Amino acid sequence: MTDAIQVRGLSYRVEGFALRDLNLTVPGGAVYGFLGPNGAGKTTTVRLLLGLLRPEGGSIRVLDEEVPADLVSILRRVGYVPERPHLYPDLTVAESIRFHAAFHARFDHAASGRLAARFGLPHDRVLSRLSKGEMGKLMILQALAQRPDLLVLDEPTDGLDPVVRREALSAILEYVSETGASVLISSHLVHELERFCDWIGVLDQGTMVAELPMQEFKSGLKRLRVGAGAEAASAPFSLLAREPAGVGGELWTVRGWRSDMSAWFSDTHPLREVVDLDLEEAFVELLRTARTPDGRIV
Amino acid sequence: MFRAVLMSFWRESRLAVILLAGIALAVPLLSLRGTWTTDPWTAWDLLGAAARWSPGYPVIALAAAMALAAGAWWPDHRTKHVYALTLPVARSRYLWLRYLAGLALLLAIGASLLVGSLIATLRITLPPLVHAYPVALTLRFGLAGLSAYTVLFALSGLTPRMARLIVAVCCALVIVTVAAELLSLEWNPIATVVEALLGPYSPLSIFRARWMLIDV
Amino acid sequence: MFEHLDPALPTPLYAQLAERLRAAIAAGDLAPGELLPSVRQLAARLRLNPGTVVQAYRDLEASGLVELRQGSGTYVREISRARRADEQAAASSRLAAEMLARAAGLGLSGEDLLTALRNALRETRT
Repeated sequence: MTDAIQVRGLSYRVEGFALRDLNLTVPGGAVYGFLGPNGAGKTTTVRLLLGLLRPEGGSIRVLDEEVPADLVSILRRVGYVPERPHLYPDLTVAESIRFHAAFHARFDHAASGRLAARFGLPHDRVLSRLSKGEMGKLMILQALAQRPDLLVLDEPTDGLDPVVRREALSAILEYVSETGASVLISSHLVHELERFCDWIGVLDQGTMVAELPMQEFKSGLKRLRVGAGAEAASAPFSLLAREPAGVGGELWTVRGWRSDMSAWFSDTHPLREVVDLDLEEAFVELLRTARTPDGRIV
Repeated sequence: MFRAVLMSFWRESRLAVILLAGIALAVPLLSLRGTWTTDPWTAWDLLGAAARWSPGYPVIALAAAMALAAGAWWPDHRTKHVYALTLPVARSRYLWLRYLAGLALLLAIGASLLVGSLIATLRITLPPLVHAYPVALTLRFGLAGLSAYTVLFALSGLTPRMARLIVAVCCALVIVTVAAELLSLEWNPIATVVEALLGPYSPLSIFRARWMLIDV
Repeated sequence: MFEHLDPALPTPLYAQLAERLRAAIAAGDLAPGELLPSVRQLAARLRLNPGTVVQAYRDLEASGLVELRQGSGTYVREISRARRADEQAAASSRLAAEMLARAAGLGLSGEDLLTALRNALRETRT
């Protein structure tokens, strides 16, 4: 299957912020979690992907077509949920859905009706009077009812309460199960993405710090409790950080760990424990070690 | 797609359109109010009534143009155009759809004017040498509205960069005019521009004419 | 049955899901011939990647606990009592290994754990 999104050498500059030579790949059919702290440039990248901003350099291919050359053709097959509400505020829920349907040939009215009922959206209420949760659900409804091949979701559950978040994610995953569509979902809520993303890309200060399958990311990052005297020079893994811990011991944060590597340790350089990091901890460690002491990206 | 755009435009400008259509219907009727009770009127009285109310029509046309141009752009400006730019439709086509939707509503207001003026003038018996021009009046309204709406639509849709450019050009004109004045030069660029915009060869000149429902 | 699937644990999610299903089948909570939720339903309900559910179901199929009937769904198979007992023994072993590992992390010995377990069992009986 061709990649859903393929970005090479993307660069973009605006006052005080720059994307430098960004490479990003979302494999076809993948659920790709786009992580990064606030201000990393996730929203900017998403906007560039959809032709809302013009890059300074690099190439962007979405669903095997070029941005911005084939933009209209691409937008037919992409469902977009931006960070901030973008629908026309003076339309009612029913009117907004009708409006959206008029522009999308594949629009599934039956699915839209089912989702509207499930989400409990009030048909005759004007968008400007919807709650944050209702607006979020409406945007997702419209993006899903459109039957896209790719969903681009920019912090779709940001600021929503847990009940609404679950409903929204359920609907999205149900759609993905039915259609095998690809998803790019950006968030800084790491715990949420951990359950269902099979790829993860980490952006920090405009640079892609890591991009790899979720399982590899989680399994490779560990904390090791080692005895004193352990020497890291010839280690088969990469040592990201070390700090003293407890009596005569150290805590090492390592990357690229495999279980057979425990053989490298010995009685004189003992390995006491291997601690798993959850995604949030792994993410924080990754950022911490990718930055220089004064906080900049290397 | 056009129906959807028209629907959203209507939602946006409903109140303004209904109000203006109501006014457009009422003005011709009100201008010949006197004829409701005493008929026939003299030519003199009829012409006087028409002349008194004639400035109203271009005002309605301008108001309609302004309201519709604003309604065309307001929802997009409010949401930073993100929705329109992510719909699978070419930008030019979308603009064209919006423009035409506004035009359709303008036509509706014009139709209201036609109905009002027809009712007002068909009821009365006109004295000799005086004629009623309900259709001509409506056409004039349509043309004026179209011109003003087109210009205002284009201006409302300006990107901030374009808007800044136009403001800069205007400021430059003002500065040059003032400088010319101070240096006692026989040159007034602002007057030239205004003359070009509203002069006899410009479609906007229609606003300067007299709009008489009843004339010789 | 499906509460507290924890992505933070080292065990992959599909394995955790498969574990729950195994235990349910062995205990008889999922009867032979019963239809399991579709991939779509379970993925939506638990907010998991559909691939995770597929992998869990395949795992169970490979173990001979379920069968996938094309166009119909995934059904629990008839399993012998001996097999049931095996599954429960395996689940207990896994749980025991997990507990011992955690105890070690807290500096507790296996003996301490055993004593505590006996006491706890006595409590539940009274």
